[in-house]
Amino acid sequence: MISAQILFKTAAVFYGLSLVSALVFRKKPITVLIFMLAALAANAASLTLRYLAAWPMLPMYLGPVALPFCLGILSIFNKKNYENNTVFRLILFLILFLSLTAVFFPKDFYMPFIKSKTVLSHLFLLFGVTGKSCFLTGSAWAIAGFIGSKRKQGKNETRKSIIGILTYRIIPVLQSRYFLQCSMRWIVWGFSLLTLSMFSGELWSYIGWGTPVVWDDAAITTTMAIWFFYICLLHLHHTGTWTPQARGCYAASGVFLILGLNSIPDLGPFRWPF
Amino acid sequence: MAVLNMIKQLSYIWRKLGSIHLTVVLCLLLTADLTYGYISINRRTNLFASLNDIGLTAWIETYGRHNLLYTAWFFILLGLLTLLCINTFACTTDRVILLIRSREHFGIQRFLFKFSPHIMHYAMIILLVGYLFSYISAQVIVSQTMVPGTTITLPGKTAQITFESFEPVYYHGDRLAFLNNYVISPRAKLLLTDGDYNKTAVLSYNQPVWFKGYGIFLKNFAPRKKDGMAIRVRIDMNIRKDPGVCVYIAGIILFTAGLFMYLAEWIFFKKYTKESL
Repeated sequence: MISAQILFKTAAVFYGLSLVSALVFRKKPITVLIFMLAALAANAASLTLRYLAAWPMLPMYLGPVALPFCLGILSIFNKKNYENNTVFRLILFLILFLSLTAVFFPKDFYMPFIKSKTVLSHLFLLFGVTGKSCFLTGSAWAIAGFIGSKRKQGKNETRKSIIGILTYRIIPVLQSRYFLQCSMRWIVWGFSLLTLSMFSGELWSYIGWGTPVVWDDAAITTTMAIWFFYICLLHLHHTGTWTPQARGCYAASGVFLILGLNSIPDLGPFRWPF
Repeated sequence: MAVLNMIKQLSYIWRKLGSIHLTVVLCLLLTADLTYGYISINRRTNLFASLNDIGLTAWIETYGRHNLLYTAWFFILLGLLTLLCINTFACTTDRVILLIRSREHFGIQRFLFKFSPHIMHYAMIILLVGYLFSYISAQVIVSQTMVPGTTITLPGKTAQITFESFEPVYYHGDRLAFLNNYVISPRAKLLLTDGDYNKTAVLSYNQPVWFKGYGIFLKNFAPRKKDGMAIRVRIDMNIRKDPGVCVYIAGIILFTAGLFMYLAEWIFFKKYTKESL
């Protein structure tokens, strides 16, 4: 019988093929979409099997398998993401990276626990994964803003502050504010969903353990770190404290935080997948 | 003159405390501190697990003070959160005053939606104060073990809790093979009495029982398997009186309301114009 692991490995192969097709051809060929749909179908089947093996409890460490799926959905079912080649390729690259880490460092050997048999635990996972996918998409838009920039650095754009030196002299100039605008849209959605995920987690923690935070699980600190990181960006954006260039750099750097704080805690020991 | 100088100084301090630059610095420091916190909790989980049960003051005096290499980040976190609360209060209050003064420039609907970030800011302060209050003032009776027929009396009250029977639901099936014949839903029947008052309640995982201001939470139980070893029936409960719960749940509700208002304003009033960038 076909297992969730095999299905996910198949999905990773199709994600890879989709990325190769997108990189080889200047204009997106139909194969990109076909490979992506095949990958999403395999990923969805893998998620369904993992859920069936745990329902009504929460499957443990589902994030690494669910995050590529969510990102994939956002990349092809959102018109702007799909039509912008750079953004689409960046998202595909992220999906492949996440899929490969999940294939080579799986942590799916833990049994679900009966305290997770509540709707709040499922909301915690759902909001958390979609929120992080939105953050990664936001970062992809911000990075895309710096790729292939043709704008020259103007005199008035050079700042004497450290942030100015770092963001204007070292990093290419943000080609258009449109990219930052799109990036911030995704980040606002990501922040809202991550907040709802945290609140679901807190309510679950209260009804399950009697405390708002369960300190046995270190993942709470990484979620809070991500939350404060994006609170900072939203404040910078709404008050216009930093220049669009600096905010673009900040939004782009979020990808490292999400990958570092989300992927590393969910990684298991290295396992050869074949 | 001295009074004027003092007002000027206070106004200067207030402005600095409400500065956006301070918000940025605090948020970045919190991100760094919490990342270090992840490493510390991962390495010494037991040091922090006790924080769930013994409350903040007792934890600081025992585990916290004597393992500073692993717990320092937590003290820094408390300091940073305190500063963030002060910063948020000063900044938001200033903006709310400005918003009320300029109310003629907006229609009533837009004016109300403009409050959404401020609602979230005040809600965050309420939430953090609620957590602090909860960790400082919660009265916890840790791991109260009971066998059927035993009774405990709540501290300082005449109210009693009697563990009447254990009626678990077992899982039978092939889909969750690892759980076959194991308990999937532990159900402990409790009799709650206080003088003439009598009530039967069912305690389970994620289904606490509230009685006379105390929350009763199921922590553990035995036996876990239907036809396993003959283990005596018992339940472990945490009994908590936590006045901070209402405060932080109010904070959660208020923050969520502010968040939905913020999203509604953003979607319907198209907040993101070119000018906003």
